[in-house]
Amino acid sequence: MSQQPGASQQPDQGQQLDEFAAAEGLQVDQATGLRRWLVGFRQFMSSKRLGAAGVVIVVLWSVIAVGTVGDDGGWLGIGRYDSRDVFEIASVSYADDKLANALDGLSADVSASELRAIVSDPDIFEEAASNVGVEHEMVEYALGRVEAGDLIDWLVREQQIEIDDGVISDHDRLLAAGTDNPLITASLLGPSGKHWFGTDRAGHDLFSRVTEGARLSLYIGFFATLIGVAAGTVTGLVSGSLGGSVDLIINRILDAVQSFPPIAFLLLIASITDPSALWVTLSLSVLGIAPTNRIVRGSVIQIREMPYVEAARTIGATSSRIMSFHILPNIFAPLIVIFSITIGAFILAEAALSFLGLGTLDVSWGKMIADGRQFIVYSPWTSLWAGLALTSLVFGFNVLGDALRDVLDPRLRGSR
Amino acid sequence: MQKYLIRRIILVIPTLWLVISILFLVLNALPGDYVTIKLANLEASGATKIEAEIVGEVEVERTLHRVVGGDTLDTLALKYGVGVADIVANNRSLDADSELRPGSTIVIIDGQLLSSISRTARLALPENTEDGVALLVERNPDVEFGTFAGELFAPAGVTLTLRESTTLRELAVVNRVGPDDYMNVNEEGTPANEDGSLTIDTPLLPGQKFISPTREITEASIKNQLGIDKPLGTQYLEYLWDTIRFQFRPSFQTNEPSMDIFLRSLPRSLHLTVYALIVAVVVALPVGILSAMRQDQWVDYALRGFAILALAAPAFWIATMMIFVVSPGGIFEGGLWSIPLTEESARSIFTSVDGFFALYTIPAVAGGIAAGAGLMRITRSELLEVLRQDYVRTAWSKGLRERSVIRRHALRNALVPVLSVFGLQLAALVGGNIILEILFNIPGIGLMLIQRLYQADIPVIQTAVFFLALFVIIVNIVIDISYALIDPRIRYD
Repeated sequence: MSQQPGASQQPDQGQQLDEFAAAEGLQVDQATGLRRWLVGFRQFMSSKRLGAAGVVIVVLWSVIAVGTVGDDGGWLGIGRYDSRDVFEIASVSYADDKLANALDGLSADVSASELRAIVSDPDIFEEAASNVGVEHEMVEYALGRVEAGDLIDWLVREQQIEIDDGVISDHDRLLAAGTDNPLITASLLGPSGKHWFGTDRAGHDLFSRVTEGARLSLYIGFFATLIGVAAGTVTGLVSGSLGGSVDLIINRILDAVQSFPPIAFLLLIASITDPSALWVTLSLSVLGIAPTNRIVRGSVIQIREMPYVEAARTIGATSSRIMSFHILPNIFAPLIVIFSITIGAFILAEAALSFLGLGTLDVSWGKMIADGRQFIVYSPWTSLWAGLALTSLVFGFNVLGDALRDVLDPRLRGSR
Repeated sequence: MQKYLIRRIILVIPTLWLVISILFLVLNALPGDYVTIKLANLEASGATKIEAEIVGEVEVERTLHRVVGGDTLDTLALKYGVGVADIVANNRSLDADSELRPGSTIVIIDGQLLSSISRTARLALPENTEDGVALLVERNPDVEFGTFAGELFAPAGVTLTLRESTTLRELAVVNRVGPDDYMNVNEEGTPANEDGSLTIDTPLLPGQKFISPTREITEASIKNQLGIDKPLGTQYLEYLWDTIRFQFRPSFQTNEPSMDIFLRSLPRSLHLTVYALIVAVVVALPVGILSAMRQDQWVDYALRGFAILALAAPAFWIATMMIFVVSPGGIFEGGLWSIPLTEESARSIFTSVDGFFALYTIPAVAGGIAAGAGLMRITRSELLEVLRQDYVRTAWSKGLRERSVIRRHALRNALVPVLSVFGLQLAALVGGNIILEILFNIPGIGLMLIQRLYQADIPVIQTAVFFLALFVIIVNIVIDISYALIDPRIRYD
């Protein structure tokens, strides 16, 4: 069994300390409020090594996720090739510049979304392209809209470029044919000094996409868990303290939701809703209600019979007062544990939905793994980094949850 | 125990009812107008255009009646508008006071009334049957017509000429359809109009094929056929009643029975699930036991670290990276083995053992690792709990070997919670392997579900999810019962 995290959390010991201090004539500086939490946190970090590692991982990813918010790669400057924003292409000269930069290999200055915005405005694109001397097909290929085989056909037919047929894959043939064209070569690069993690099919920098994916994972994981655990707490409190037919009805409904295979439930919801982060969050949170409800309800039934609750009832406390002042504070520990365990599972579920193409439209690790699948043999990077990032974040939450469980509520051991 | 069991089984009913209702609600909100999709598919294959043929002649049959309970000669006479004597005259075995035996067939007329022939052959509008009768008489001068209850009839066995030729205009009139409708569906290239020279008055000879707008499939006719033109409440009640009787509607898209589709996909999912669970158990039990026996030694730390990592890594990613490892051009030049993604025989171990292992090994290992990590952790912690018990200490002090202490004293009791996790994972794997099935093109329940969702094939989804939910509920009950069977201390009251 693990040690309790510090004497400061146990009032009786604190009292003894006070008496001891008074007898000795000493001034006691007892940690209260925020400082009490800080003491507990320091104890946790030093006694639970793996849990501490989890805290570090989670904090690191959170900083990265928050750091990519904003323009020009976010205020940390790590989302260098932000591809999420849609750029307004105001003028031909702007498009000229961007296309010229792209052709000159200055792809650091040009994001794929800028290229996409240029291509999507035919008038501006036609003029800018003829000014700069870039062909429509190449930009389309860089954006992943045209297959390599089609581009090869086009190069042979229109540009009279000789293609080496001895090379095995279409992509390699393109590289051999168009080594001087950055729009072609920027696609599916391996890791290098310029692109730390390499690039994907559309020439996106993978490092910045991995950092961007963190934001969605954390956002959905956190809020889905928050909503689910909060709702489960309410139902657990109500069904545990009221009992009777309310208890029966709530538990039947939650049983029914739990009878669906989780991924099938998410699929069903995803197929009738918009592909937005909000809906993914809500449908995930529904899955969080039942497990929370079960644990909270069990705790409430146990606490309800405690002498101090009975005492409160005898002096005429209303049931809502008993619930909020006597029962709720006592189930905080299991709630924190459920929260940290659930969040990892939800992040995985979101990735699974995105992998199936039923998640959000934002940059997501699950979608990156799916994108990389097509080119897995000659460029495993897209799938590799996204999967590693996902694993590390979920690992962080899982070990944090395990450690918190050991410290706060050993009874929950084996609940998952 | 019995009382508990009965209570549990009764509580299944409201749960299942809620599952069915949630399914109904969700699936009714499915976007994508599947009626339009179906119509478009039918149109693309030309199946909405039903060909008909100009019928030139008909062979007259006897007018028969199959007796049902309650029929008497009087009711029949009333029904067919004839006298009892007329019927008796046509049936040798009958006399005026005979009882009619249900199931037997009696002859009403030894032939067919011309008015009824005119109606079925659409010689004239229903209210103008006398015109049709006149036409029939005029066109069949050689036939001797009899009279029956004041009406003309043709004797059985005679072949009647219905028409020498007809035109679309005539067809339009007798079918109460505008002539344009006939011209529209019989556009150039259709059998009646291959060279585009057909006009509304072109004579069509018997045997000529043409397209009938009265039998064309439209949105309304599809909705009617699928039963979704009724109010939602009625649909819900019918669906509930169907599900109670285990009568599932056939597929909206292919008309195949939903159960057949479900049962066809099930074996593939079971192959994957069983293989994955075997991998999970084979890894988890020995590793969990080893980890518990060497608690807090480096073996324990390494194994636990691996388990936590395996729980964090998504199965679809592990599978994707494993594909990279075994594929040619990946890590090994030439690859380790090729995955038979499109071979039908590889999808079952009964048709091809080699193919089975080549196809299912990666998804089973990827899915089994995560399940095994969970099992391993619970095995370890439960075993540690049991190893601290007094009776285990007694077993040690008796001088038993480690093997028999673990096997005979500790493991049995530690396995109870392990079993519950195992059961839950079994349930989760059968329906939850959607991604692995897609990755490896295994047409199991998962892949079938997502394909049918895209086609909005509601009955098939309803049937599959209903059975998956039923399966989860049954597994949960079985787990609780087996608790009591394995550990006699557990009693349900």
